[in-house]
This record gives sequence, C-alpha cells and structure tokens, in this order.
Amino acid sequence: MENLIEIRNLSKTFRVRRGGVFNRSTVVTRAVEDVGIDIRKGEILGCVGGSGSGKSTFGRMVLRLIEPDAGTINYGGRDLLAYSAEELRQHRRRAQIVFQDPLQSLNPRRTVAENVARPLLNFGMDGRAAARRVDELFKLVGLDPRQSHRYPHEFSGGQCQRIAIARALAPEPEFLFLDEPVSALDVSIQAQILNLLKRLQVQLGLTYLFVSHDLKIVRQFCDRTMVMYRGKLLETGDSAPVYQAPLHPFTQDFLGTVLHARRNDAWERAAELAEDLEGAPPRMDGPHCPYAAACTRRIDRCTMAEPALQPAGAGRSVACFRHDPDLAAPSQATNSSPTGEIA
Amino acid sequence: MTGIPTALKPPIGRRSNLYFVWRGVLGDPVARIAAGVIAGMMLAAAFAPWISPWAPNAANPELRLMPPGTPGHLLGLDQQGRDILSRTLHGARLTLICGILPVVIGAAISIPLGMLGAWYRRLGAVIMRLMDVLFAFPMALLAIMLAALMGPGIGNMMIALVVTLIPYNTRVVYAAACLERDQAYVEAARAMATPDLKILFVEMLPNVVAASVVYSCTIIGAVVITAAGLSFLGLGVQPPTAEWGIMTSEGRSFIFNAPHIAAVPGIAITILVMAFNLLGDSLRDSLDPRTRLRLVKPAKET
Repeated sequence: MENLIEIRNLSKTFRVRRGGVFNRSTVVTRAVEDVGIDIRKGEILGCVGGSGSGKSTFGRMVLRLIEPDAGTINYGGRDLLAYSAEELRQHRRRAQIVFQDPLQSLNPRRTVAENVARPLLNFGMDGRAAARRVDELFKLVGLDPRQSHRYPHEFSGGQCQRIAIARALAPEPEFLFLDEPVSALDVSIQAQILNLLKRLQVQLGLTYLFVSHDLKIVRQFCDRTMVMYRGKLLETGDSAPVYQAPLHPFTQDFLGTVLHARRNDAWERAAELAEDLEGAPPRMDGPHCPYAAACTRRIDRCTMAEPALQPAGAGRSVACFRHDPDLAAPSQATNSSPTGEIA
Repeated sequence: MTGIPTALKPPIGRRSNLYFVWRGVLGDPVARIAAGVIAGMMLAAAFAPWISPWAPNAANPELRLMPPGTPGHLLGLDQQGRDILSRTLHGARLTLICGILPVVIGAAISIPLGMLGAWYRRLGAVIMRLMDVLFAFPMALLAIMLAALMGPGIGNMMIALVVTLIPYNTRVVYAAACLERDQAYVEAARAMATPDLKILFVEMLPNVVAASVVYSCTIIGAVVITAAGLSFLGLGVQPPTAEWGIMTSEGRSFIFNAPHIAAVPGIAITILVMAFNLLGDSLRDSLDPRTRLRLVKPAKET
C-alpha cells in the first residue's frame, strides 16, 4: 500500500522555565524522541502507550499543530515542515483532528451549525452553501440537521463527538488524527462512535491516526499498532500479531493482563498497572533502553546502549536487544523464548 | 435519525443574543427593577429641563437648608437655597455620562488589549507589566494626578478616568482570555486554519466579553464616586454645575444641620450603582447560552 505520511526521526522537547529573572531553572521534558513510522493510505494506525508517553504530541506534530524540533514529515511526497504559511493553511483541508473532550472542542457560545461551518467559511465557501453542507454533514454523522441551531451544551457527549467529527470532515480531509476520541464517552456510546468512524473511513476512504490508551479498542479498531513509551517508539506491526505475540517486554507487560482476562475490571487493573509502569522514573546515566529500569528481561547491554528500531519480520519492528539478530547473546536468550508466556 | 427529509433548517429557535438579553432581563424580577431604575434615571436626565420644578441654579436664600417637604420643594433646599430635586434631576445628566462613558471607552480599549496580551505572550508580558505600573497607584490618586496634569474640565476628567480604568478591566479580560486560550476549541480553530485575529475576535471574544460586561457594570459605581472626588477637588465638573458627586461633597459641611443635602444625591448614587450591579449579574446569565435557557423556559418551544 502507498504511504500517505512518512515520518522520520521526529523529536520534540518541551522546556518549561521556572522561577523569575533570578535563579531560573528549566525543566526539560522529552515528549517525543526519534520516532519514525509510515502511515499508509487508507489504514487505521493505532498509537498506544501510557499517559505522558508522547502519543498526543506525536499526533499534533503530524498535523503541525506543534512544531517538531527535529525530524522530517513527508506528506504525500512533499516535505510538510517546509510548507509556507499559505501552503500550511491549504494543508489544513487535507488533515484534520478530533479531540478527546467533545464538549470542550466546540465553542460553547456558537451554535453547532456555526461550529461546523467555521472551516468551510475559512476556505472561502459562502454562507448559503456552507449551511447546505452543514446539513449534509449532520446527516452523514447521523444527526438531525434541524437541531443544528442549538448550542453544544444541549447535546449529549456522544452527539457532541458526532458534531466534532462532522466539523473535522467539513473541509473533506483525507487524514484524520483522532486524539482519544472515545475515552471521554460511556462504553455504550463508544461503540456507536467507533462504528461511525469505521463507516466513514470506508465510505470516504480516510486514513486515521488513532491515539488511545484503551488497548481493547485499538486492538479491534486499528489495522496497525505502534507502541510508545516515554516518547520512544518501541514496537510496530499489524494489530493482530502485536496483540497476540508482543515482542517488546514493555508491550508484553502493558498488554499482559488484557489478553488473558476478558472481564472489564481486570482490564482496568491492567491499565492501572500500565500507568504505574509510567510512574516511576528510572535513574540511569548514559544511553540505555527507556524501559531498562522496569524490564524483567534486561540484559547487560540494555543499561549501556539504546536499542534502535529493527525489523522483526512480517512487517513488524521492535526496539529491543533481545530481538536484535546481531546482538542477542545466546547464553541469555536460550533461557526462555522472549515471546513465550503471552502467546 | 438518518431518515429525516431534506428540509432546510427552520428558523424556529434561532434567536439572537439580544433576544436572550431582553428575555433574560424581563424574566428576572430583580433585573427588571434594576433596568427600570436605570431607564428612569436616563429619562429623568434627558427630560430634566422640562420636568424639574425649578432651574438648577435658581437660589432662594430665605429657604436655605430647609428639609424635604417644604412647600414647592419636595426634597428640600441646599445651603444656598437651591431646589435639591431640580438639581438632582439635572445632575443625573453629568453623573450618568461621567459614570458610563469612561467605562465604555475603557472597555473598548481593554478588551482588545487583554486579548492580544493573552494570545501573544511576549506582548502580553509587556502589556501586563505596564498595567502593573498603573496598578501601583490607587485609583483615585492616579485619576487626580492625571486630571491635575491635564488641567480641569469634563473632557480631561473623562480621559483621566479612562486611563485609570484600563488596568482593571484589562486584567479581567486577560485572565478570562488566558483561560479560553487553552481550551480545545481554540486548538480546533487553529487546526481549521482560522486566522489568529479571527480566533481572537470571532471565537474567543463571546466567551471573554461576559466577564468584562459584568465587571464594567460593577465598576460604574466606583467611577461615579471617583468622578465626584475629582469634581470635589475642582478638577472635574466645576461647582455651580449640578452633579451628584459635587452635591454630596458640598452637603458634607452641613451633614449635622441639614443631612438631606448630602443624603439625596448620595442615595441617588447608591441606587444607580446597585442597579448597575444587579443588571450586570443578569446580563452575565443571559449572555451565556448555558444558563440563559433557564431564564426563558416559559417562552421556549420544544
């Protein structure tokens, strides 16, 4: 399949200045480090990771809502980062975003019709045509166009998310960045919104980058999955094999409980565990694997060098020395198969 | 839901902000009274020469300091024998102008200033530090200083009041705009390629302006009093002219012999300030789509 977006070595460091003019200190957060991946035309790429793993920052950089520090983004054969202001403005038609909190992403003082019409008006459509298009969009996302004069707070969360999706689809984009689009919604509504997104994706031939911390949803919804941890890309591959036989120890820990337990509360605990893994920062000097401190399969090399993302067969890649054909030390690798328990 | 026939949106239920302000103010008894009081004062000010029984400066020295109820002088007479009712009616003109106009002009300057400051952070740092300098002076002192520098006169007094008001209102707008700036709908607007100024003045302004409207209504009282203070010092309205602030300060000397001289214009100022405060509260509710439906529920169609 043809690549829509090719991302290479994308990095972003946030610097937060603390203190005043005197005793100024800077807190440095490496939100995204050296991430590279291809997004293929017409696929749904899932991006999972605990909170603070840089998923949302990554997605916003792909839309250039946040400027990357380093790296390249090749969008449809052109360098996205070299776009002029006007080119970027035109690019906004092609790539849109859906936010986590549907109510907050709509302007509370404007009717939903005004909210949805805004991108159309920005791109020079006249008011009458925009109103017709708004009605079309409302029907497309399964809402009654006669309610479009109402304000966002008069709708439920699920309806607001439909409105936000309608707004994102208004300029007829080919790529949507879905930033946890269902995590603020009830479970029953989640399924409706996911079905809607799936239907729209097929109907309009869209490409999705779907960010979520809900592993179950990503597994069902996404064609491919990328696993992030502390701003680094640890593993990518088709969703089914990544979930059935995760290669990276982090992915195994992150997914572990989910794949055994189907019950919801067990999953909740797994999610909490995953958050815990994020919590404790490892204190290590020099280059090391980002997961080395918490990893149960650590080898000496993990604390001395950082593993690069390497192809691991069948379209998968993983950043772990255990799967590096050149480096895997036979004496340590023979104890157990790295993928054994989970699969 | 998908099987709805392709009908154009019916105009039912689409109401302008003004409609909701109107309904909201009428629907709330307190706001109705406040609006009535303000409207009454404005009418009294407009028609003062026709409805007041005496000329504002016509003195009758024989009846000076007479209390309310003196035949022909409903609210009594002042220290020079001038009719207080007539002076209060005439004074409403200048008082309302001196109270409202600087606030309106100040808000017109503060709103863009505060919003631009919130959006462009470096500019914001400069603007807010400048405001801090103005904040260092008490409101009345700053107004006196500016009015003294520019010389007496109503125009100069209003300029002084506007300058005094700007830091307060700017800070209110700045704080509100900083909250809105980080909302997801603003980021959504950026993702839709909305130009910066459009984000500020089309998307954010309706969310920010409510805070400023309410604040402006409450500060009108302080402005009336500051204006009165300036007049008292001979920097604003000049003494023979009827104005509530001057009348109150003039009556101060006779507060024990003839309390009505200061009380009548003082009560008028109090009522005016209260009316604006209550109206401000009601305006905030009726300007916000989230609370205003409650106000007009009886009139709302399904």
